[in-house]
Amino acid sequence: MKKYYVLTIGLLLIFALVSCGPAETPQPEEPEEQTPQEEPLGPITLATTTSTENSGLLDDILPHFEEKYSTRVNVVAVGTGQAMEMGKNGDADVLLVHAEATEIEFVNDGYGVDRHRVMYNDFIIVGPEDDPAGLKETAGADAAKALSIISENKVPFASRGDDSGTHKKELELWQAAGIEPEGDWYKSVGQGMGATLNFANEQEAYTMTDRATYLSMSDELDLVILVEGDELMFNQYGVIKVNPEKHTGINKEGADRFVEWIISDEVQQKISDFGKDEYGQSLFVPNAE
Amino acid sequence: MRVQVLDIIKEYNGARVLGIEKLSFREGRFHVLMGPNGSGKSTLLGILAGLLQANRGRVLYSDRQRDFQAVRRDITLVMQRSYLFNTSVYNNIASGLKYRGMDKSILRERVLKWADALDLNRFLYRNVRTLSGGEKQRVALARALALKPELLLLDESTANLDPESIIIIEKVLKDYQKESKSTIIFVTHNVFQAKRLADRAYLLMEGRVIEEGESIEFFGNPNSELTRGFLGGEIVY
Amino acid sequence: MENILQGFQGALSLIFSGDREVYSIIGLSLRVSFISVLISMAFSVPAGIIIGMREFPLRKTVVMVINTLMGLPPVIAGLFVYLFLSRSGPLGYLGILHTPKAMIIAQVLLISPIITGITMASVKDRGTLVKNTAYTLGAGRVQILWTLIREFRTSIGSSLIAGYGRAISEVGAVMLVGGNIKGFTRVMTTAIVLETNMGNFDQAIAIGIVLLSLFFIINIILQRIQGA
Repeated sequence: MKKYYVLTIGLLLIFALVSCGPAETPQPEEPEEQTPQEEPLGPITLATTTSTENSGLLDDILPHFEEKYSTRVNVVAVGTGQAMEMGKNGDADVLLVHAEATEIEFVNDGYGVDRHRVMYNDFIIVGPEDDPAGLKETAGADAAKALSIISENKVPFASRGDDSGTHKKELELWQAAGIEPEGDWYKSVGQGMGATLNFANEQEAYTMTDRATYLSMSDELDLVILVEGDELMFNQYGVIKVNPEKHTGINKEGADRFVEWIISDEVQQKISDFGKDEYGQSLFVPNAE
Repeated sequence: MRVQVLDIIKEYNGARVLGIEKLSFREGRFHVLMGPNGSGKSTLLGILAGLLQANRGRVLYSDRQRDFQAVRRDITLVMQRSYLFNTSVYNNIASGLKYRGMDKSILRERVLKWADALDLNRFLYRNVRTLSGGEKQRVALARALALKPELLLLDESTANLDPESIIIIEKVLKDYQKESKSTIIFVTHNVFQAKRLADRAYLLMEGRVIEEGESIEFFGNPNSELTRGFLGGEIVY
Repeated sequence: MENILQGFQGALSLIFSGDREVYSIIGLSLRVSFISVLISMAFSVPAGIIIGMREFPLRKTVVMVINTLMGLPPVIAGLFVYLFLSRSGPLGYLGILHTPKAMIIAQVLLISPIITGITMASVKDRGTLVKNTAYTLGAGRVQILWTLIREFRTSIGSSLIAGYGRAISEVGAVMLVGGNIKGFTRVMTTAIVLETNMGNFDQAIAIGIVLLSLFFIINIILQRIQGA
């Protein structure tokens, strides 16, 4: 009997050792397209936000970069604040975040070499199909107006409440409407976008969400899009090269190639194409200059 | 191996448990150490075996104060309820030999010989925890004798054992002593047993040697009153 | 009820999905935990034996510290390791933050007090008896150590199982120092957090069941080998 147990543990161990992802340096794979093989770079650490990773965009476009340069991009998805801190500490080589003011400050303070616009996505306000607050008729594409109506009627509204980029955007909107949201109807969920949408779905509440997450979950949700298109709800992404002078070990070469790649026409097109097949619309609008 | 104890003093928490000026154990003889509880017998054995350090004094092995580490492997101690390793009888008997890195085939011979001498063939490959007290002590003794120690120390090793085991053990010890000429120091409470086994006997009380002598004189015509009383069973322990 | 049944179905389909990413997550969980236990026991077991048996100044303090560290909140160990391995920290030049190596380091820090503490407690009573027996049979220092490990193998085994259990269920520290990078430092626990945050509760439950099952199976097997 004992022998079988030891055998099983042995098998599990072998499985564990063999099934791991790529080792520190990846093997060059056969490129799908005729992209010219470049000099291999070392691994690149990209710090970005959870919502960016969750959208699936990076899973879609990064392999193209990884193949071209025979490298791997280690995506560390954390909150915007932590991503910026990682940049300051030199624990990332390049940042991809959506907090314009903070990004500019970051570069001005010398932590970043430069900043480039990459793309924007938008937020939307969703709610129950029957739309008890009547947003579709009365607010149209005016986000601030929509929020005032919600607040006046004390209709349930779910907020991220987690100090994320999305949450900060939501607070900006409330500010634009000149309202401090408080009361039983305003529910601070304190979790990620997916969990917040599920919550709003259960409670038949309104919420503000990024389009990508909503679309990826729309099958399971009864919520519908009620307000969209307001410029205030545009969410600009920027890519920043972390300053290699401040710390040793920053992959400067890798960061340079990455930024060059992501603002290139070819990749900008890929960004635009992402999601079209599945959702019939772009999730991100490329706007690198 | 001849053992000499010189000016040994051992104290625990300020209380003196052992104070011996001079004590000599000639080689090749069966020495029996007796005395009431707390008289220092076990302490003396512990010092001789290297488990305890005396506060003062020296022990000479073979007339020289050698580095204890040099003689350590010629000395073996068997305790009252010996700890046996959680494995088979065979492996226990072999343990000391394995520590010494003995060649496997010679080791096997040795183990089988001593297992046989102590009538342990029946359970040679059984785990020791299934054995009775007497059987366990026989294993402990086989384990010790397999090492062919020049100095064999036994601390009440047959106390509370069944008569059959005692008989076997005593016979084996006597035979061993005759064959190997090794020095045996045997501690016991049992006066009858002492008479049976001793070439020379010693009485300890409160850490001091009260009397010592050749067996015939010690048991037949002791010098001290205390000895007489002890042998007569008067002293309660 | 429905959710749980679905969860089991989900778990099964994950295991047989042939999806490389899923296997990578499971494999990494196992690998990091196993290696952490192996590394830790190399010094924790001898340390536990020595501390449990020998007298030395400050011994009581050391024992107290180890017993306290056994309950150290894992995420604190994670934060600590993170600060050390960050490029702005003292060991930043090693460049091992956000790699499985960092995760192993954090786990080793976490489980060593457990292994040491349990070993310590188990040798306390009879350790000296075993040591003396071996000594009088002629054993040298190293031989005595091996003898002690053999004689106390059951309790020491328990300490290893406890350590492994702690390692494979840990999430805070490995999240911090590993970064939950897809295909590289993502393990079952951190994957569950990710899926939950994204609202994919079904997926999270499925991974959770895989984790639980593996945990129980391995635990039971290890105990059988130990002969408890």
